[in-house]
Amino acid sequence: MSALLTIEDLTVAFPRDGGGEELAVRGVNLTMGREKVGIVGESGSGKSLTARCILGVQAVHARCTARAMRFDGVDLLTATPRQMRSLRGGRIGMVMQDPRHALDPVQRIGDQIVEAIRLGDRKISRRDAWAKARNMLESVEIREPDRVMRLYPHEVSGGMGQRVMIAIVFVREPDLLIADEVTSALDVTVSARILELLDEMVTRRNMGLIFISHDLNLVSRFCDRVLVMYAGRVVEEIAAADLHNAQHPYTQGLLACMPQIGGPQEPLPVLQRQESWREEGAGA
Amino acid sequence: MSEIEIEGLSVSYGEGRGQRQVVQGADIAVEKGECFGLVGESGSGKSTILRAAMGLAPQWQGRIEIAGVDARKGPRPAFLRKVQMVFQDPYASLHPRLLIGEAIAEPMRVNRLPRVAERTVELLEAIGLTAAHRYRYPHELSGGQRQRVAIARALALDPEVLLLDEPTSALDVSIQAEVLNLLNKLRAERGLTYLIVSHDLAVISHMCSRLAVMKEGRIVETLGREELTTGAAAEAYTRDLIAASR
Repeated sequence: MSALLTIEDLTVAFPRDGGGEELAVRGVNLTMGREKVGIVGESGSGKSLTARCILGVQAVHARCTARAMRFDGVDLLTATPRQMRSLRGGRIGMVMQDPRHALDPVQRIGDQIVEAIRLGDRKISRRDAWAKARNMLESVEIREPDRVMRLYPHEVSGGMGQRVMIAIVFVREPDLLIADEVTSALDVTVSARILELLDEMVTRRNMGLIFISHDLNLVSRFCDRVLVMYAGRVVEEIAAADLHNAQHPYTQGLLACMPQIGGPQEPLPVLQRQESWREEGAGA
Repeated sequence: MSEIEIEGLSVSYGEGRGQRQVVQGADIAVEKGECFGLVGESGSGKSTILRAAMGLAPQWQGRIEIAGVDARKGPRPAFLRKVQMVFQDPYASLHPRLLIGEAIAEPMRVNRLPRVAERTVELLEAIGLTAAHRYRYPHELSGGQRQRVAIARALALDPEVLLLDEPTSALDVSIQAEVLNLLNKLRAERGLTYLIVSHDLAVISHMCSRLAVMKEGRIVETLGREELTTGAAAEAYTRDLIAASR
């Protein structure tokens, strides 16, 4: 399997009040092909920041350094702004947590999908782009695509908004999709269907997927392998099917502290954080 | 008589042509010391029931009685001293420019209770923080600590009932475990009664003995923890919800 994405020793630093720097991501390595890779960890562990650096959309004051960052032959460290623009939304797509924040509130859904299509294909006519957008809504299982094309984002539910986001990303047929907590804002029954849909589309198009989530069980069902991040480091990398045999005490602790349906109503085990977890890394 | 009695509760938002019925004919009875769960998808009306009980959704019909005080007919201050609410997002529910100590003391001052300063420290210690945290602002605390402070503020008037609206869904699972343990400990120590809203059936199973399932403003089913565990629910909708949560 040839590498679609290679990250070596990625570090992200933020300036600290009163001088110095705070390291938010510390030496992350990731080499992936057209497969489904999950990144799990608590808030602040650096998982979203890692994803943002791939696209070069981290905050302006974040200093992002790496020994190597390549996407399918393109060196992301030396790429020009123009090259990065053509990757973003084109060959690398990103779906974020809350469609109500990610969609433009004052533009009709149809126009937003058409805009994405025409950014990728400047020659396509407006009429053809509209038809293509409509078909894409149909393939993300929106029942009345013609009606939904004319709605504004606030007029649709969270689940439908997330389907629209997925449609916008897939019209450009990216090679790599970054999905950042795509179902955390959705109800369980809706979220199950969205994940199936995402899985089908990624598999059928033979894409790479980086799936970021704080939900370990979800990730283990959905991905091929999982990186577990703690305090900016990857502390464990494990095949998703083996997640429940995780070796690192942090991963074990995260699994143990989740309540279960029908589990004992005794106090939940609480994660005892060790200072050493910050320093040792499994290294991917 | 139950600690929480809700009978034939209907709640609407808006007026005229824009009026929408969001809860229809809900009946809930929770015994003293019990933790009762309300589950359902977003928009099903579960939070609205809590909001109606607190007076945050004023257009309601039916009867709400908590710890023997009627929400409509009883004296308002007495009612609010029996019941307090904890919200989902502690960053939004705590005033950003009030020190933690002031936030916890405020309900006591409003109600002219004695020993405010000592009580504030006692409450901070009860939720696992220290007296020094009085002089911090919400943004200086972690999400879990902020939710503990919101719980301390809710306990400041020594209520008998807490209404918990998704109290851990903004938190990481490790922090969720700490907050759930704290809530259970406080309930046992103080004999509190909880009505908890959550979309997470595992949280409900961990906390509650009984729960009601809501759909489109109606309670479709009330079931015990056993039926939740075995999946032996009467309604197809409940079975779907349980299946999707495994």
